[in-house]
Amino acid sequence: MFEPAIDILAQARFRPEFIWDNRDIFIDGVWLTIRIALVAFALSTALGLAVALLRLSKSWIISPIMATYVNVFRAIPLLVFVLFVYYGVAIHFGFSITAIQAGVLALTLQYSCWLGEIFRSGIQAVAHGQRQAAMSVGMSRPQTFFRVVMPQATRIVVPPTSNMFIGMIKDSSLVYIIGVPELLRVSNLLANRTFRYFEVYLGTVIVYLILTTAAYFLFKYIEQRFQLVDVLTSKVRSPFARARSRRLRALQEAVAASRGADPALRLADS
Amino acid sequence: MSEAPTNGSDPQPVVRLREIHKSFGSNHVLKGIDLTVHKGEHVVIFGPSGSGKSTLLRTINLLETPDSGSVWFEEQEYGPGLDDEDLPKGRARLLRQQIGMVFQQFNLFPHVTALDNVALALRRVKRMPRPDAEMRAAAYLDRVGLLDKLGAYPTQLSGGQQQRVAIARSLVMEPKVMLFDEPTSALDPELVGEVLAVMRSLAESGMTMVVVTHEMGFGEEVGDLNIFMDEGVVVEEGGRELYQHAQEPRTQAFLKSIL
Repeated sequence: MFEPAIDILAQARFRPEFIWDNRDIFIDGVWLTIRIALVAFALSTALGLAVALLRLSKSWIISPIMATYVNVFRAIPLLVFVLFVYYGVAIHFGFSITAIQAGVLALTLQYSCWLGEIFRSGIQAVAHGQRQAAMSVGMSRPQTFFRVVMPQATRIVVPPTSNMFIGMIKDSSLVYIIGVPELLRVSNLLANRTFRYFEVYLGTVIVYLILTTAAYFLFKYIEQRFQLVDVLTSKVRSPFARARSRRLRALQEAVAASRGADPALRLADS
Repeated sequence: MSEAPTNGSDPQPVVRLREIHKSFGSNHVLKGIDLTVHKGEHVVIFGPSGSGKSTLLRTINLLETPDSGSVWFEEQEYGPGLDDEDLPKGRARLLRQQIGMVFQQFNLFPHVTALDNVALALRRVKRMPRPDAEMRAAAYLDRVGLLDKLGAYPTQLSGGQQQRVAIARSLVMEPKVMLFDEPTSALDPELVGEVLAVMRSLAESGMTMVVVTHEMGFGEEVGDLNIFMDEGVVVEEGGRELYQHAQEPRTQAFLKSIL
């Protein structure tokens, strides 16, 4: 629906309620933005992990191929890449994929390169002695990787990965160029239709801020969950920590009670 | 090649290395080493840094694969083997499950508690159910005097405590041989004693041990077979008298330099 005539004075007045009045449009857009960002990020994480592992492979052929993949895809401006994937490849060669799928694909291919490099550095940052210690107690290579290297690498990569997640929310706006009705696209249409550029884009800015702030707190929470706390000595608060603390105390009591049967077993005093 | 160990009547060989060669690039680190370790025996290896003693120790559990030579453990060949013997080879992973190793830098898993450090291999390698694994792990932490620290993470422990957890982590697998790679070298001087005390008790309990160390006092006290290595070869070996009555000039010079 078009507004017939433009009242210059009415246009000039700032009407913050305009954002609220059009909240349905923003909500539709932001919902699609969230879905695109989440799906593309989940896919990039999986693909990024594969890229990292393949790059770390000792094969003389696989590692250089993955290095080339990373260096090519991350070297293209994302906006150009979105256009190339949708109009250049999908439409030209007649692949039946929607604009949304093409957008997710472009985001995923590029973000898997960035995330792959982050994951690779995280895996390499785990001290070599860790692998040796795991192998020295007889763990297999997969066990060593999944039980010892991965959990430590995960802690290392959380902060840079949170940056990438916030980046993904922002970069998902670039798929507006192929007509995907996400937040930026619907804002764009609304502004062009109503000429209320300031209100519309102010609303857009606020919504992106809300999304990225929420992502920031989500990752901050994850980082906190990774903090290493001795539940026996810290001031225990969460029900989970309380249960753990009870379990460990029961274990201590059981061991202390069964002690003394063979004092020769003791190697040190408590 | 060694004198009889102090405990156990007829000593059986547990580990036997023969003609071990290892190079890193152009650096020939081990030049044909032979070493036999008997049940209950305590072998102490010392020598200047770069002499190949750590590499030799890590060959025993195949953390280093020798370029050639025989790594033999409990009636089974695990290494490349000798040319004139063509024996079936055991898997390195099974070898390592029977040999414990303690590292200079402790190498505890920093992301899990002391308890889980000790319980991890029980659960994943021995497939023990979690409650049983934790009970045993706690009992071994108790043996090294750290029952009260089972909920602590490695960074919350002193170096000496970390090394004692590392010893418990190896012992809990009930190894037939324990390898120690300079276990006190990374410790502050006041923390060395607690780790040596645990190692001494372990030696007294009859554990077969191979220890690379600069603690000559420990060698004089528990070493049944003492080996001085330099530049990839065994220069001299002997009983406890070696420390006071070394024959080789290189051994004498080294002992003089560190005492």
